[in-house]
Amino acid sequence: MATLHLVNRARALAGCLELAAPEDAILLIEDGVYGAIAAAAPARQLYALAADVTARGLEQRLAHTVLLANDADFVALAVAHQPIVSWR
Amino acid sequence: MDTKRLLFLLRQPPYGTSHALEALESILVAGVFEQRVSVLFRDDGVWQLVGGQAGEVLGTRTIGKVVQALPQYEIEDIYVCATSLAARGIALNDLVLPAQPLDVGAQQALIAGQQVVVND
Repeated sequence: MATLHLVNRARALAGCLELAAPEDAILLIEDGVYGAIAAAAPARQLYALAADVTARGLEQRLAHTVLLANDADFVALAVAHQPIVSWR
Repeated sequence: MDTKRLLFLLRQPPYGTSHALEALESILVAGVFEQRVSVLFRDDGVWQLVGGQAGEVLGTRTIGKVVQALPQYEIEDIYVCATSLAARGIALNDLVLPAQPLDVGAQQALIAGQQVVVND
């Protein structure tokens, strides 16, 4: 199974990207979603938790590589991956 | 009790905050409970491994000595990020114990083989 990386601060994203394998999933949550804006996001695909994006007014600012995940998607990602690595 | 494959990812420098010591204490506890524990030092966490530390100057424990004690708690799978060492000018024989250097691909494989990863 591939790894799920959970990033809850934007500044933790760089360290995560260094270690994430190409097949791994990266989900930005809480203040991690600031790492998903077009001006900052890396070239690879990322997930961002929709509620945290909406709450911060970032929906129109996201990079094209970012997929929004709702709470059910979060659960599905957690079930489909092992281990889960949190970055903060 | 189930035995789990458990990796501690240690990325914080040894002094300044209590993160490093708390993480090391968690590792010792995991070892006592006979989990299959691996430890990977990377980023500023590699400073925990450097010899010549003197925590008593700051009135605290010497983190290098705590690290050195890991094998006595049957924690013997100790790895270090080769890139993090090179970036800081640290040689393998500067370390307080023999840690196995890994490139990024080997670190990704190590993570993929775990059930639980604790990232400090």
